[in-house]
Amino acid sequence: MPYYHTPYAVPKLEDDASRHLESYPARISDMMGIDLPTSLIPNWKEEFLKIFRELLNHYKELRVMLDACVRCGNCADKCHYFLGTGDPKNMPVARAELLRRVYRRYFTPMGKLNPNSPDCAELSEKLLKEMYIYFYQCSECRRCATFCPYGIDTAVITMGAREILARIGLGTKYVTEVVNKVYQTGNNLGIWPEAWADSSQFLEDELEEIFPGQGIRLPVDEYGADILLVAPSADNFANTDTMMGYAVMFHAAGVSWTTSTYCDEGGNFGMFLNYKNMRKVNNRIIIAGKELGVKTILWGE
Amino acid sequence: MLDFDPSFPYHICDFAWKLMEKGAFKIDKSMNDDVLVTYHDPCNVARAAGFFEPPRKMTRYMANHFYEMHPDTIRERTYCCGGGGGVLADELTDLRTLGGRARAEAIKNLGKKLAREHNGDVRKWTPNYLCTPCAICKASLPDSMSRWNVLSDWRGEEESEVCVVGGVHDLMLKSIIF
Amino acid sequence: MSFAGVFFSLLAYAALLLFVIGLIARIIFYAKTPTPLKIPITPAPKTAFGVFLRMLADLFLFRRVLRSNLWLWAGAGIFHICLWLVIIRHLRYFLYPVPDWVMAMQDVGYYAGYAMPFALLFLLARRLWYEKEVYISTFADYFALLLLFTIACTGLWMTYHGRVFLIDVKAFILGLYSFSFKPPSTHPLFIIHLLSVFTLLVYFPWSKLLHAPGIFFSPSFFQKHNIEKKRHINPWDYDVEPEPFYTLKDKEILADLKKRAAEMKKYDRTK
Repeated sequence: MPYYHTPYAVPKLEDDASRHLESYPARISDMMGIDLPTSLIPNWKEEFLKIFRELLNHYKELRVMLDACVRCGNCADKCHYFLGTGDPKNMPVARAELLRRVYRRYFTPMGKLNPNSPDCAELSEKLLKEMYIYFYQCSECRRCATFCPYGIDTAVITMGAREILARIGLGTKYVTEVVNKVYQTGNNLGIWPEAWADSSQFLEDELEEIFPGQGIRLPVDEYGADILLVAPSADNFANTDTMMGYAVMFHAAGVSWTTSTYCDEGGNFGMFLNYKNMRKVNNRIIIAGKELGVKTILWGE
Repeated sequence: MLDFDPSFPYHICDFAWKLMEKGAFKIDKSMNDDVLVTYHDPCNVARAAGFFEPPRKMTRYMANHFYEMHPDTIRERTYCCGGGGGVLADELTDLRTLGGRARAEAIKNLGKKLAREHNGDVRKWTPNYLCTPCAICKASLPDSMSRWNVLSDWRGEEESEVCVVGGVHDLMLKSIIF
Repeated sequence: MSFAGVFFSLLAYAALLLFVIGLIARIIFYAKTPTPLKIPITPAPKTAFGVFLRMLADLFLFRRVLRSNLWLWAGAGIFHICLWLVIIRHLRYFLYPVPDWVMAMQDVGYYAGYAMPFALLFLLARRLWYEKEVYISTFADYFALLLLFTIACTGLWMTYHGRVFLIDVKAFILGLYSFSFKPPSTHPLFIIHLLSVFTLLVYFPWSKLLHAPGIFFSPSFFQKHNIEKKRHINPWDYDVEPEPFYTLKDKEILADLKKRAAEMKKYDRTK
């Protein structure tokens, strides 16, 4: 019967199979650069609950999704990290349960009446550590949400948990570094504007060799172009074929376009950290578009 | 030629396909015969933006050998490459290759299916080009491809090559004629 | 007016009050909380009517479970259908005179009443059988299942074997409308049935049973995929201070940025 298909057999459960896969803690300079506490703050318990309450009042999705789960287990074998590692805490429902236990303990009558119930969890260093590990083992891909009968989106819960973790001073080195680099250089890779221009020039020369005499250009910071291309910065260095592909496409279409050294990054790693940084990173695109006076903005691949 | 100009930012594949549909580009499809292409939907492009068709149509337009993986592994049911959400860090390489296994096995399954259909060798019919419009996938999936041995003989060279992960516009660079 | 009449009537009022207040409070809370992000799961409908159709498919067909887990779909589907049929069947104890359509549903309700405990047992067995389910199941899951199972079994037993005086039952329920505190039937099965239903009513607004109203407030469900037409505004958005814009020609800003980045790095070294 042609029914639901997984590419390979669902693994057996193995407790703590991926617990050792932990991100490095954030560097002090990066946390300072993105306006977050540099290490775990002393009164983190109060702060945790304060931010949690604020999030519950700000996000309908978070509140509904913390309430509505019936733990039917339909999402369990849909997560690629669970398929890969077999760690039961990588099942979307178990991952969400880390936060849900805290929610039940402090924000529902059940938890207030019976705080020692197995469905509730006190805030503790141990739980915080688990949250840090497993919420940074979620890629916010939302595959579980397509299969959940209530549309419960683990990405929303992960984003909520990471927002809290970030604001009490727990970030991962990679994510905070990337966001900080965006503020410093305009892109995730930390490429300075001059290097970006050099690289564009290099690709232009490359294209001249492939298509001699065509004069295909990769404009940088040109005022009054029709299109601002906001491509992933990796396109200019790692996936150069893709970047040259854009240039060829624009050239053949005969439109004027430009990239901006202020904002040469389409990926927003603020989303993997907290809302304020997400907004700030996104804001750069709008500013770049307005300042350069473009007609429309295109996302790169 | 540029008769649409919406006030919201949109995807470059959307833009390119709208022009391509009208025949704005001269494409020599046979230039892409050295690749057996399959398309991987990036999570955010597929599930957050609902953007399924244009990259597929572009790929079909530019390559002769384009095949889809199992329907439960593409479109809104696509697997993440394993590197999204800030997991692309070096120290988590093990995790993201484990996460990318689902995609790697899906490609191998496609190879088996195509080999059955064409009465050929599995290696011969395993795709050697995974087309995906996402920078994170392009950075993360090659590790998974080599860890889970997604090997292809499509080009018919002596040694099997590991499936390459690249973009949609890469194909355009190869096949466009002026 | 007897002690039993007053006691059970007051319990009934309390349970109903907690149920209604709790549920309304939750729904108001859901309705008032803003949705800052646009998160429909695509492919999503572009119009309100499309959302309505999709909602119907999800509510009545359990579409998302259907395409991935047939056993769960069958078990949950049969249980929910039976639950509704049995509730409709029960209307004849709550209405006077009894409408014809309720009488017409009695036979269907009869069979549904028998199927319900089996569906519940199946759902329970599922939780105990699969390794994954055992891991994720919590006390609340078993509690809800067992509570419903108790209600279903006592109901079945007294309808067909227990000889409960229906006249007493109906008098008690109708007495609730007029605050006349009629005593209920004192058959033990009925008392257990009644107390379990009260527990369920009180438990409902604070537990995972909230999935029933929650499904209507799940943004990944009800949002339209219309980013092209309408901009989604976050009602509580922060004002962020933008960094100054620069191009390649703004050498001063660039030099300043580099200096600041180098200064930042010092903090790591002192650690």
